[in-house]
This record gives sequence, C-alpha cells and structure tokens, in this order.
Amino acid sequence: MTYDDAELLKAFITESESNMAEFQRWLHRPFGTADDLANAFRWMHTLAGSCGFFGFVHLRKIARAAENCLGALRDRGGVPDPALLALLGRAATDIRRFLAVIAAAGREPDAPSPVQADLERWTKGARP
Amino acid sequence: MKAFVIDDSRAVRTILRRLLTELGFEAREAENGKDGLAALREGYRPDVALVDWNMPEMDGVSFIRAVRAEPAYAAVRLVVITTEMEVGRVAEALDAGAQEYVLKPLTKDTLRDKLAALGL
Repeated sequence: MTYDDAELLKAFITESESNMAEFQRWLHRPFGTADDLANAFRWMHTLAGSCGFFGFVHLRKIARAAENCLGALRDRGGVPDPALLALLGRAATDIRRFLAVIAAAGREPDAPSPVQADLERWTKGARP
Repeated sequence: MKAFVIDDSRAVRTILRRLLTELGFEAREAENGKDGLAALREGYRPDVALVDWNMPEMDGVSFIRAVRAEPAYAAVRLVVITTEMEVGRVAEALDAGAQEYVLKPLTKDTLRDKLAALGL
C-alpha cells in the first residue's frame, strides 16, 4: 500500500528536507555527545521508515544504508573521521536530490543512489 | 474507541491517524513518549496507543515502561511500531508491557487485524 495523497506527500517532503538540513548541519559541527549521534541516526531512521509508506524504494535503501552506517559507528563508540563525514555528506546531498525529484515529479528517480553501495561497504568494514 | 498515535514523524502520524479514523477510531497524536505520557497524566485515556520505537525525548520502550508502571493506565493497550531493522528488539518491547507490534510500513488490513487481536 502506498500513499500518493498530495497533502501527505508534502508533509513527507517538508519533514524529510528539514531532517536532512539538520543532518547536514550536524556534519559540519564538531562532534559532541552520543546524543548528537543518536539524533543523526534518528533523522535517517525516520526517513527510511517513512519512505516505506510511499513506496520510495531507492530512497529508503540509501537512508537505511546511512542509518546502518551511523548505527555501526554508534555501536563501536566511534567518532566519525573526515572520510566518513564526507561519505555521509554525499549521502545527504543525494537524498536531497531524491527529495527534489519527488517534490517535482511525485515519484523518485528510477536508479538507486550511487552512494548507497559506498555506505554499505563502509558499514560492512566497520562491523566487527 | 480512542487511539493514541505517538511518533516523531508528522508524516507517519498523519498516515496512521487517517488509517485509524477509517477504522472508526477517534485518533489523537503526540510526537514523542514524553508528550504522550503528559497527555495520560492530564487524564487522556485511549483504548490503544501505537508507539514508535525511536523518538527524541522519550523513546517507545521507555514510554511503555512508564505506562505499565502506573496502574491507572492499565487498560491502555500498547502496540509498538517498529521497522525491519528493529524487529530483533521486539521482545524488549513485549517484555516492557506492549501487547502487540506492527512493522512499518503497515496497511489498513494489518492494523485492523492487530487491533482486532487486542479486542478492539
């Protein structure tokens, strides 16, 4: 079951854009507490969870890949290094591209995000 | 019948409220466990609360534990809303006092079945 109702879609886009803007600000702040990481994780988690209601398969996969990446970082109590911050920055940029396409066309791009595989590779390498 | 939707995502709350309304429930929303608990303390008594897992301020399991610790809220059925990523932690929610769980994204039929299983 998917939702193509304009009001719901607008709420999804607005909320997701806001969360991604917060996420991008987080990427550029000095790394602080575990709560900061929990917030970043939750922004991706919320996006991935919401995508399922609308049938946005590719967007859901990249958000889930970013969520898993942040979850792996959290589990090992790590601090994101510049390479990971750059990777997450690419993910946020691509997610916003997806959201812009959805806002304009009402559907997501046909192809998956090229950043998804990089996130999955990082997570696989980070897991013990 | 009254249903309480507790989820930090406005889009998800809107979808769930619509589904519940279509199923004949009078739905109310809160955006995290802390606000949900405040509503109960103010006297709101839903028949069922659908509770997201991952929320700011107070997460779903903390909310469930707080509700189950208060005898005045014993009649409130608790359903945790989770994702495929969290399904391994469902036992934690059930141990805390949730009666059911549903996976996102959920359909009206799924929700109807879960609520019917709770006698609603």
